[in-house]
Amino acid sequence: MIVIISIIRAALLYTFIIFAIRIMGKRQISDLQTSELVVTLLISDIAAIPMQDTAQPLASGIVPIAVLVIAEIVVSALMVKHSSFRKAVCGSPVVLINDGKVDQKQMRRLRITIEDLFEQLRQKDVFSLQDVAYAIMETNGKISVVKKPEKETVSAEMLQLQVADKGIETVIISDGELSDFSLKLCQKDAQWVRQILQRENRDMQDVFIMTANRNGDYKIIEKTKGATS
Amino acid sequence: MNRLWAAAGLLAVLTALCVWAGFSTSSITASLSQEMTQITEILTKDKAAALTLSRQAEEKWQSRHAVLCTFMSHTRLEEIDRSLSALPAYIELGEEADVRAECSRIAEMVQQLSEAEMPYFQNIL
Repeated sequence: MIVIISIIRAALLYTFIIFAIRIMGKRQISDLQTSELVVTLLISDIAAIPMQDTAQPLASGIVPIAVLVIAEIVVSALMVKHSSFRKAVCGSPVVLINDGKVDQKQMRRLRITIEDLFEQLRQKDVFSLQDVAYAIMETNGKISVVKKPEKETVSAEMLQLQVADKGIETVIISDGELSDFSLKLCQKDAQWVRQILQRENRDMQDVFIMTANRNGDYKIIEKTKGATS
Repeated sequence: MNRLWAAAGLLAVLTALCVWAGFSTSSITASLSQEMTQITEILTKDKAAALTLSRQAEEKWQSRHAVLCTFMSHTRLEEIDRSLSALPAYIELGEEADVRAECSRIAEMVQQLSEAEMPYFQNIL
């Protein structure tokens, strides 16, 4: 019976944690602010106790998680309203490279080694310090890089080229299923998709991926026989 | 704004839960403590009445056990369960001093249970 109890408790806690995370809002783990990271770590830790120990009431896990969620929502609401509060909780961005010069004092203060800085620059496709005009350490620990104007990637605007706006390319059929949401995004309808499939002599069930954009450009990838579940 | 309302709703639920848990604990523990005192008072004069009272106390505790289990550590509650189930046998067959000691032990455990749920400074720290 203890196994059944454990399964039910784990399922209940899982549902509650999903609910709690949804209330807090979507964020990638790498984009978490200090307070969000603390809450995420604490939630996983707190939930583990009543999940493992059936002698503990579920409330001993659910109540502290609920309190953390409330605190996180209130803190994020206060951060939106008061920039000084946000600064106190998250800190401020710090300029590490200013006008091409590395600020050693700030690097020491943030305990960032030159290897750390280079690693982050490489992740931004910058392989030489000479190319960097500004590097800013953001409050979530990531570094934003502004290249020197002469090292910037050439854009259509720089070349004064007119580029047609094709809109976003969306997946309108995924594994044989039509997505109404994606159709709206690319301003198409189910009738248009059916016409395309008829013209291409394909059945919707046989389509693995179909992408399309606002201009009506599309790409179809058929399901490979034996690859589907 | 919706999130703030959700947080307010959660806070209201938590507050209600805290009030209900505090009220349930204090009423159950107060009643059990009183019964333990009564048993020790009537033990010398009327052993049969003390026995009936101990059985009633055990039944009452069992009926409220489920409520306490929803927010209290089950281990602590089971300790009181065991002591209460042993009490009628002590009254029937044991020495009077043993019964008094057991009643006092139950009263103490119940008192601790009640105090542990209160937001006292020492509990918070």
